[in-house]
Amino acid sequence: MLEAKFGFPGFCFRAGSEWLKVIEVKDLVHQYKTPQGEAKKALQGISLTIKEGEFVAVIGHNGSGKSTLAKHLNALLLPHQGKVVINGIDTSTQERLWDIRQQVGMVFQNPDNQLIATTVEEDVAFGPENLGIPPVKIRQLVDESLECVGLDEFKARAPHLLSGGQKQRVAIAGVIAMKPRILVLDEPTAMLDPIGRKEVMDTVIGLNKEEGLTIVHITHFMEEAVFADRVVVMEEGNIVMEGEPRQVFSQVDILRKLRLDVPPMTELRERLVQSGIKLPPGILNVEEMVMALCP
Amino acid sequence: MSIKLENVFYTYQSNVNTEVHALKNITLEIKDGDFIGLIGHTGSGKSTLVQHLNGLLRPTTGKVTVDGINILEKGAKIKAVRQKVGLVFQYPEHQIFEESVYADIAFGPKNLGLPHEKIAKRVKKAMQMVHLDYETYKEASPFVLSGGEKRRVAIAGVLAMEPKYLILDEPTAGLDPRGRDEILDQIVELHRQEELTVVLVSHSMDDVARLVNKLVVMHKGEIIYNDKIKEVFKHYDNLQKIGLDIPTVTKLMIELQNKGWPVRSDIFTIDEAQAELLKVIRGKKNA
Repeated sequence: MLEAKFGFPGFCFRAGSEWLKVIEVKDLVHQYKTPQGEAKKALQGISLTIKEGEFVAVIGHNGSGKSTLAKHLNALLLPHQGKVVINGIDTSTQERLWDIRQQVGMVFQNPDNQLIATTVEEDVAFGPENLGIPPVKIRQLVDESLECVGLDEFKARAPHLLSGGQKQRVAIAGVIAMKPRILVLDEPTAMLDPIGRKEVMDTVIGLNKEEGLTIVHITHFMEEAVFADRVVVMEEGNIVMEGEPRQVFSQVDILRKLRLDVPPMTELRERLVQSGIKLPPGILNVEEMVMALCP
Repeated sequence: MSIKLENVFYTYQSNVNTEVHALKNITLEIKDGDFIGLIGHTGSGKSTLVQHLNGLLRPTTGKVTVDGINILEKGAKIKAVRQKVGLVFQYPEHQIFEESVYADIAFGPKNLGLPHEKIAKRVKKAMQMVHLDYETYKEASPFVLSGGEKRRVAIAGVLAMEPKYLILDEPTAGLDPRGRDEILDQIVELHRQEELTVVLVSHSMDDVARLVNKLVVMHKGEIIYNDKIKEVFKHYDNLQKIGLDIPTVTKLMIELQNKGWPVRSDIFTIDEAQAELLKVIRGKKNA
C-alpha cells in the first residue's frame, strides 16, 4: 500500500533540494557508570551525517546505543567526547539550547507518558505556548499540525480515550506545532498494534515526503526501516552497517549474526538462490518477489 | 481436563452509559496439551476473554469451568483456579515490585504458605525454566535488568505457582528481535518439556503461524474462527478484510496463484515456502 503511494524509497530526494547537512555527529563518545561502578561507553566514537529531507532509520538491539544517540540530537544528552552539530549549532552551546530543542522534535515510545492536557488541541498547543507565540498564531499552528497527522476532527477529544496510534499522532502533532526541521522518533510504534503502527508510519512518511521534514526513525521493525532512504545499524555503541535498505537487508548473514530480523522475502530469496534459482539481489517484499519470479 | 467457556457474554457500562458487549456468546474449550494462538485487534475482546480463564472477570451470563470447577458457583475454589491458570499480563515487568529477583519470584509461593525450602526449590526451578542463572540473578535488583530479563523474571513469578495452564497476553510486545525470540523459544520449551497448556495472545501472524497448533480469531467480541492454522488461513480474504495480517509467505503464495502458478496456498513458514517453490520451479523446468 505504502509503496504504491510514495514510490520506492532510496532515490526519493525532492528535486532541487540542496544537500545541506542538518545533523552532523562526529566521533561521539558517551560514557556512563554501571551500578557496579565501572565506566562503560554507550557510544564508542560515532560519526554520522544526515542531510536535509533525508529519512534515516536506525536499527539495533536494546542496549546498542540507539536511544543514547537520539538523545544527543536535541541536547538531552551532551557528548563526553566528539561533537554534535544541528543546523550549524554545536549542541554544547548552552545559550542556543532552546533553538536546538525547537528545531529537533522528539517522539518517544510510550504515548501515555507524553500527553498532558485534557483535550487534544490543548495538548498540541502546549509547545507553541511555551515558545511565547501569540494566541492567533497558536490556533493556526495547532490546526495545521492536527491536519498534518489526520486528526483535525479530534480537536476537542480527551487524549486518554484515543487509540494508541491516535495518541502517538497527537504526540507527533504536538512536536510539529513547534515547526521543527528534524523529527526524531524513538521506537514510536513499539507499543502499538498493527493498525496503530501503520497509522504512525503513514504519518511519518507523509511528513517526510510532503512537508520535507528530516526524519530519524529508531525501530525494531524491519518492515518500517524499508521505507527509509538510509538504514543505520548499531551494535554495542558502534555503527556496524549503513546504506540503502536494499543494500543493508541483502546482507543476510551479517544481520543474522547480529540476531536482527531479515525481511521474510529477502530471506526466502537468499535460500532459493542457494538452491540454485536465479533471482536478482535486494528483494524486500512480496511484490518484488512476484516480479522476480514471474517476469 | 480443560478450561471450558460456554455461551459466555460479558457486558459492561461505558462512560456514556451505553452497554458494551465485550464478549458475545463465546464457547471455547482449551484442552490439556493445547498450544493455542489467540489473535484479534485491540478491542476485539482478547484481553477480556483471557481474564475469564482464571476467574479475574466473571461472565455476565454463561458458564466458565476450570478442570471441572464452575467459577460462578458459590464457594467455588477460585484460589485453586488461579493457581492452575497462570496469567502473564501485557508488560508484566510493570508489576515487579520486590527488591530482589528471588523475592519477586517467591512472592506467589510465599502466599501459598509453603515452607522456605519448598519456596526456594520452586524459585530455582522457575528461574531455570526461563534461563535465568540462579546464582547470578537471585540477589540482583529486578530494576537494573534489561527489558527482556525483567519480563523473564515476571514470567518466572507466574511459573513458580506451578500452573497447568499458562496464558500469555502479548508476551513479546516492546521487545527487540533477540528478546522476542528468546521469550518465544522458552514458551515453546515450556509447552514441550514441561507439558504446559499454553494460550498465546499475539498480534503477529508470522510468530503465531510457526508456533501454535490451533488458532482462535476474535473480532468484535466474537470468536470467528477456531481451528487448525491451515484451516483458519484459508479464510485469508476475510482475515485481511477485518484488518488482520496473514503470514508474508502465505501472501506470496496467493499472489503467485493469481498469476497462474500451481502452488499451494496453505504455506505459513519460510521453510515450507522454500520447499514448495523449489518443487514448482524445478517441475516447470522439467516440463
